[in-house]
Amino acid sequence: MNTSHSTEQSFSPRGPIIVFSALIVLTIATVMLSGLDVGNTGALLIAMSVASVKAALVLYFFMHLNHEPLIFKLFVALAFVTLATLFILTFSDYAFRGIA
Amino acid sequence: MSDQAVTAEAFHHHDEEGTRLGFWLFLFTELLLFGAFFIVYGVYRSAHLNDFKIAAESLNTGIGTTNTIILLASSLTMVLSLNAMKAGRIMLAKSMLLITIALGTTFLVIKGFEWNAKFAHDLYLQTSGAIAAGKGSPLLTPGPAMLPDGQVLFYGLYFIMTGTHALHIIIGAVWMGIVYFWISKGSINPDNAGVLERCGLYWHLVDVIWIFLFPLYYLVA
Amino acid sequence: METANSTNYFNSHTGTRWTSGFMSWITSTDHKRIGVMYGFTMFAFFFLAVCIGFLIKLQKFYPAASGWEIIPPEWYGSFFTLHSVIMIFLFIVPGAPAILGNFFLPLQIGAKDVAFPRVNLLSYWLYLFGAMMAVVGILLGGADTGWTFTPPYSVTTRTISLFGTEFDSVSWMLTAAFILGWGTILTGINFIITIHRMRTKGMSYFKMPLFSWSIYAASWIQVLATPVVGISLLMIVLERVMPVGFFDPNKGGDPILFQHLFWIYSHPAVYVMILPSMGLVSEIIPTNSQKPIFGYKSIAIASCSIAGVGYLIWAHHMFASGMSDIASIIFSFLTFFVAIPTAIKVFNWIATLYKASIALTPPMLFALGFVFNFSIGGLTGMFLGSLSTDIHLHDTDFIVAHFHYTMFGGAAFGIIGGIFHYFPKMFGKMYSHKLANATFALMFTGFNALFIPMFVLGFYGMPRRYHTYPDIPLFTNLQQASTIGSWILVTGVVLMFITWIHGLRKGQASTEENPWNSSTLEWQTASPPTLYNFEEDPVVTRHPYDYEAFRAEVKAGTSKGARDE
Repeated sequence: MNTSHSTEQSFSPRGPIIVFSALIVLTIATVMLSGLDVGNTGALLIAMSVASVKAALVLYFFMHLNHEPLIFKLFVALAFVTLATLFILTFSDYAFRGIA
Repeated sequence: MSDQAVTAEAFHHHDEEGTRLGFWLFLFTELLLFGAFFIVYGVYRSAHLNDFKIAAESLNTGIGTTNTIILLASSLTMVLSLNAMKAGRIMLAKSMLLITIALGTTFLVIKGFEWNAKFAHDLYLQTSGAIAAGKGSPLLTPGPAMLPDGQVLFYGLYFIMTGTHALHIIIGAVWMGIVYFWISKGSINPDNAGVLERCGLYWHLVDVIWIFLFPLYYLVA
Repeated sequence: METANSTNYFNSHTGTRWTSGFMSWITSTDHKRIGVMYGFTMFAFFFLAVCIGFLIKLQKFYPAASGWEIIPPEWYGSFFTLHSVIMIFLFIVPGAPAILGNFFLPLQIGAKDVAFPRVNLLSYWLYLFGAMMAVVGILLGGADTGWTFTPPYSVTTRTISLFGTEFDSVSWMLTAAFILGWGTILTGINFIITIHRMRTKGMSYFKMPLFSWSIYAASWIQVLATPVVGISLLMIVLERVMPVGFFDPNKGGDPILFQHLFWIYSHPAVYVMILPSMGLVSEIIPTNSQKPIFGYKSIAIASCSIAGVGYLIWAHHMFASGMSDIASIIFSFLTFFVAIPTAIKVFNWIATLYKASIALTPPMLFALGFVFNFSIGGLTGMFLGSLSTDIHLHDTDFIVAHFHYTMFGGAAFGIIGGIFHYFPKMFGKMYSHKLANATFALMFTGFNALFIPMFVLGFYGMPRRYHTYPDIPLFTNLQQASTIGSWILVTGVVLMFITWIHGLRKGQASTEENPWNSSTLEWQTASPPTLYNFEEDPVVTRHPYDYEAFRAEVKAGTSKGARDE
């Protein structure tokens, strides 16, 4: 999929359907796991981990990052690292409110 | 003065990969835009944990799960549409695109019913004028029936975040309609499928955002 | 234009069906025309904001108790808001990338245009639309929130238009800022892709001129930070229209959260303002020293690390706002890291000057002025980054002076110096050096006379954003010195415009390609540049600041140097 000129490539729905099935399985799994009594942090952790895996599947296969050159992956990593940094530093305030 | 007008296309060779990379950068702006919402959600959730849990109980997990599956399915058909286009099977690409639009619309309709159910319980955002006049939702207007602060914040975020997301679904669906028209006209074809591909990238990103919205509102109650 | 027989970007253009006149400019996708249009628009707004600043300083000439009233007290807030919104959102944030970046980034890397020319034009339209909205909005209602729009005040303040009707100019201006934000985001995307995909043959990343590097770093900030502020500004609009209480402590909200979201963007944004100017200085200093810039790679990498560290330090604007002490300590600690790459740059510029044959041309004067002012601005920033001194200096005139030393004495001096540097290339004409030197003398003297007293005033506790001050000699004397400085500065700004207009109308027409004898690629094209920038795609073989090789090329006739050499 790295060039748009490859008209010869044949249509095969197998790969996307496998990814889709994995996504559905994960969705059902996260709904079922939400019923577990693991406390707030545990529930949040499980839900966010599953969501991250799902998002990674969509990014990597559906959005074709697997076929893109390295620079695309670096850019995506930079965007997510930025977002994660903003979260961590914001919570360096809220996690310690009223403590010190 | 010898004026000459030259079309931009005349001397720009089209750089498909560069355009796609640029579109990814645009997607990052969408990601960070929602990222700011997620920060707000995270902060208020940690400050009003119990209220958030109580309010989240009122959301219907079944509806949320259905919508998640619908959106994931629409992502699948979007990928298939692009694959079919690249394989030269234009009719298949068009029908897959139509299914994607239909699934997106279904998502919106279900979302509409969900919002409507909230409205029926007098849970909605009001204008400052209505609040000042004491009209509108008894649960949001100050008074004895007023919900606790945390729950008001929860519903506020719920409406704003799912609303912004729904707005993106609408934009995506309209764009897909235009793409469908262009495929019919032949300006998008197997050798020139960049617009379809970028439309797909946008649609998948909207899906990625929903993948995070779904557990935060429907699951971690 | 005099050079009618050659096709330059004045008499030929791309992307529009209009062949001449106003419409052929406003619909042109040529990066050079867009750069020039940004230039004219932005400096018009700049002048408007300078005039407002002049009135603000005039109000401080005497304390209000003496009956002196230039601006009524109830309008004072609107005046400084208008000054800051125009200066920040309409001039200094988009300024250097939009004017000089648009014009010279493709030229510096040997490209024919930016990656997405039509998107580039859209950015300009968004800018123009947002700018008009902001100015109209503030004229209709006046907003007195300051440019930071900090709640709860920005949520609760109600504004009345000049005609006495209620007009929500705060929401209006927030929307305008949101639209302006999209303009800069699209410009940022455009530049990143241009740099990644359109460098000419041989132009590897570490052969790019330093201005391009600084634009690259600034563009990433525009792309990854602007959306955050966009959405937080819209949340204020929402709060005004449909109040949920997001930033209202009475309703469980947290006003400090808005400050977080706001500064997540607005702190990195100060690097959007300063980085391109640093890039321009990195062009001007080696050109006028006629020797390679000291530590090319370290300056390029410093640009990127300033952008990166810039993301980690936003909450140093909030030490006095009530966030947790641990966060304050973390952010104060991280703040000091930004001094490292910044100082590397300053040392490199000074090392470049060492044993150089320095030509004190007008752009060089501005570049040296930049280094001087910016050093003061940067070092006073260290006072403010330290927790204990910040508590004393927070929200005083000290901050205002610090900010202006970095943004006016730094960023704006860089842009103005850059325009003096590139003027002959952009317009194929040379301005009067005498007028330009006088402009620098007035602006530099006036600027320092205006803001040094404000450091002292702030240190003695003069709060910022106040209409008046106590009538004691210490305050009155310093305020008057500052106001007199503002008169000199405004004279300098007016003279700057006179110099430019005189240069455009009566300047010596010159098709000389490389009047400053600069070694970077953008000087090898015609003046003014031809439609496609280069007759044939240039091939780069050497380092951008390799003056020895450059002189050999000029001698061999393969490169164009200054003709009188």
